[in-house]
Amino acid sequence: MKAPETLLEVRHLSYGYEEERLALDDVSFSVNKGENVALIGHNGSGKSTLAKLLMGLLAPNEGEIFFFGLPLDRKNLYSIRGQIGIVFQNPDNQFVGSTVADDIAFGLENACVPQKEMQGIIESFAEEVGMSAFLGHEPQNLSGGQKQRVAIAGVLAMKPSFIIFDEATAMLDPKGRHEIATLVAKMRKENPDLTILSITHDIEEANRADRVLVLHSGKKVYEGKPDAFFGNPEIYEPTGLGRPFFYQMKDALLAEGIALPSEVCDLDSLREYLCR
Amino acid sequence: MKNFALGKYVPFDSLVHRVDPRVKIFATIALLVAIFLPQETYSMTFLVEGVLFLLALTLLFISHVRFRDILLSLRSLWFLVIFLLVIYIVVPKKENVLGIAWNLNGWIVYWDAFAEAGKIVLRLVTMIMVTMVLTATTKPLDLTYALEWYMTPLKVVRFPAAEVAMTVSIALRFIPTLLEDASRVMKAQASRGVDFEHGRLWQKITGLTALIIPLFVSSFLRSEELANAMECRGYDPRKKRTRYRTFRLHVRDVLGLLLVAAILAGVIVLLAMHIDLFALWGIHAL
Amino acid sequence: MPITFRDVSFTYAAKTPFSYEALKGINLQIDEGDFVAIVGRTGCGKSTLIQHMNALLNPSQGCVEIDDFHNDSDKKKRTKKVKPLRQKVGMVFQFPEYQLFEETVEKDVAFAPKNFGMKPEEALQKAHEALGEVGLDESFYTRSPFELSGGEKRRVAIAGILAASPEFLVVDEPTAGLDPKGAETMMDLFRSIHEKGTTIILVTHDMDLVLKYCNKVIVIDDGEVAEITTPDHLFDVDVERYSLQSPLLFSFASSLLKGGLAIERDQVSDVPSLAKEIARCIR
Repeated sequence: MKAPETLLEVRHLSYGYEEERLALDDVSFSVNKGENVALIGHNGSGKSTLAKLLMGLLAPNEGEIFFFGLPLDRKNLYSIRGQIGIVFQNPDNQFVGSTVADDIAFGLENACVPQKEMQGIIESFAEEVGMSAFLGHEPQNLSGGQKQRVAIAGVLAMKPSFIIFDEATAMLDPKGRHEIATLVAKMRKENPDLTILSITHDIEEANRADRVLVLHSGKKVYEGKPDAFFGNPEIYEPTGLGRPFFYQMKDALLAEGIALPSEVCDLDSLREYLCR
Repeated sequence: MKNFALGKYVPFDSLVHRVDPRVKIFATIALLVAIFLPQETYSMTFLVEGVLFLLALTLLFISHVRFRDILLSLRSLWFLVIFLLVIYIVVPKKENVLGIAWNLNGWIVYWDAFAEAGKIVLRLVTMIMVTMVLTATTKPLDLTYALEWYMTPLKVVRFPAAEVAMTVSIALRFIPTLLEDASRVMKAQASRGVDFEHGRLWQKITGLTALIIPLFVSSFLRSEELANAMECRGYDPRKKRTRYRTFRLHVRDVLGLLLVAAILAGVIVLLAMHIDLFALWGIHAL
Repeated sequence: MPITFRDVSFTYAAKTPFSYEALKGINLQIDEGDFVAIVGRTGCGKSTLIQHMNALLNPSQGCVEIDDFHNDSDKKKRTKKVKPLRQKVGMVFQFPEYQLFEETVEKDVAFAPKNFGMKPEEALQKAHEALGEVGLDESFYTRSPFELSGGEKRRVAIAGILAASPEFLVVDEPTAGLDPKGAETMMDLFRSIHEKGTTIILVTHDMDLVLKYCNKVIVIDDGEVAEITTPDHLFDVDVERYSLQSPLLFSFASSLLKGGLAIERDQVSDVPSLAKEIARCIR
């Protein structure tokens, strides 16, 4: 079997204004091609600092970040940014264009895509996120979920191999959240090579990821499969994060004397197990 | 705010809407020049101004601007009409050709006073209507792009035309967002007992700071996040970019350009050659 | 002294081509001591509705009665003085941290009581009490609100409403943007405020909050009251019809029911009770 291709590697990253209390303290991890990794941690855990460092908006005190094997530095910044896409939290503050079409075009313009090709690209990615009917719409007439879909179309249009979602659903209502989750699932199905790092505090979303990365007080406390984290009270309890519904259910059933076999690992399999 | 009809874009897909915004800007300027070029006699002035007035009215009609909006934007001119009339009546010109309107115990009022005031009012009305055609049929963003195109030659002297255009278009894009912010903060502070309408001066001032400071804070936050997002999407003001919106002149644009050029040329010829159309037709007009 | 809506309708931009009827003939009552949830999809009219409760909006038709205040569509019947009403009905908007503006936390919190006619020392006293209530100690009093963390700012803003000692507290999505832990502490704060005798009106999308904290739910759909019920009965209501997500607990229990497990609906109110029901069915 071929060794997985590492798209992002973070080595001993530290950042902070004060020596004694670093916002980020010696964090290392990597993300492989085709993976869906969730980065979780409560407010103030260092999540957003890490996000800014990854985007090159802050420079680390110590440590290095490598994208596609290249160090993230002044020289490589623009070429790396051309290959990663970022969807931010606030739907309004990332909508640059005055209409949906203009906003999707913004990244293409920056990348000097010839004008003749733009319309076709814009239309196909608007279609991809289900916003074809809204190309001429202005942002104030769109819902939060629709604006985030436009942001995703703008990102996809650049054909990135790596997408960072920086709490992209935190400001959406359940409907918007559902729209984005469905869209991301579809994107992953269509393109298995698409690599996603999702910074989130939606624990149900984190539970669906291939791997979770947990930050607490600036330190990495866990990296690995979600079940080994949420299933182990010794690790998750000190982080003060919530628990996915499945694990709450599992514990409650255990208290009633129903122990689940190991192949029951999510709500669907739990339902099947109980209803058999 | 709601009666602010001048400068409001009217969403519609008319012929005038489809004309290239660069052509519309040029046409507006050309027509404004034509409107303000002085003609020699009253009859010629009113003839030329009348034709231009009808032209502007037709264009507004084609653009689907509502008649009410036109009247609304002209409403404030009433003061000017009365003011001008009073001035011309009280301070008559030295040469009056139209004769005496009335003579009240030696206080002579000439017809010229009315004609002069009428001339200026007609010009102003036509001017407002012409600019209204431009703003009603051109999206603010297209106006920005067109202005950028006109500013392109200034790049030679290092004028940042593209950056200015980007700034203006982002400002336009965020106006509705900021208005929403403002209304939200106002409601929040009203719930905390601020009375923005009544109350003493001092209370009004605190009320205003309670509105303005939060607005500043949220705008700064927005602009910071926006700048980050733009940077991450590869925007670099110093780098060359391509453009999604470009302009290509169509036949209608060229025709429009020719029409406006012909009008302006005609008005200039009439003036330069001292042509009095009425005299040519054998009518003696003043 | 309940809040009563009598046949309230509201139209935005009336008599223009953009006119839009946001509320249509709303009839409802919120009793003293309630912890009531108002739920519905974005744009269903929830926020228009709550703005009628402290007369930020006046109805186009009908009347809202809050104690002796009449927020009537008819100007002549409408109570003139709105300040006592705004004092009585506190309103915490979404992202309230964006309403802070004073140099110090205590000044900002004392702003409302001062506006409602309290003497400066008294207002400051009230501010300190309110700050204590939201869990911010003396060390915060003289700090600038702008240097606090997001969660702390929100607490200051909420204290700024509590300081006016409202009898009704309307809160719009108070947990938006908070992490799960922060959201829980925030909701526990409202629970403790409720226990001290304040009526709470919670506007939210989060049905799990409704289930956990509220005693009454009003579902608004397309400007009308679609359902008035208790959280326990939400199990029987198809909330997805109103673009709401039913609490995971209920949707999971329903899927078990469909799968053939004979769960008693009214026995299920939280995770342990569901587990108990499952255990009963399996054995």
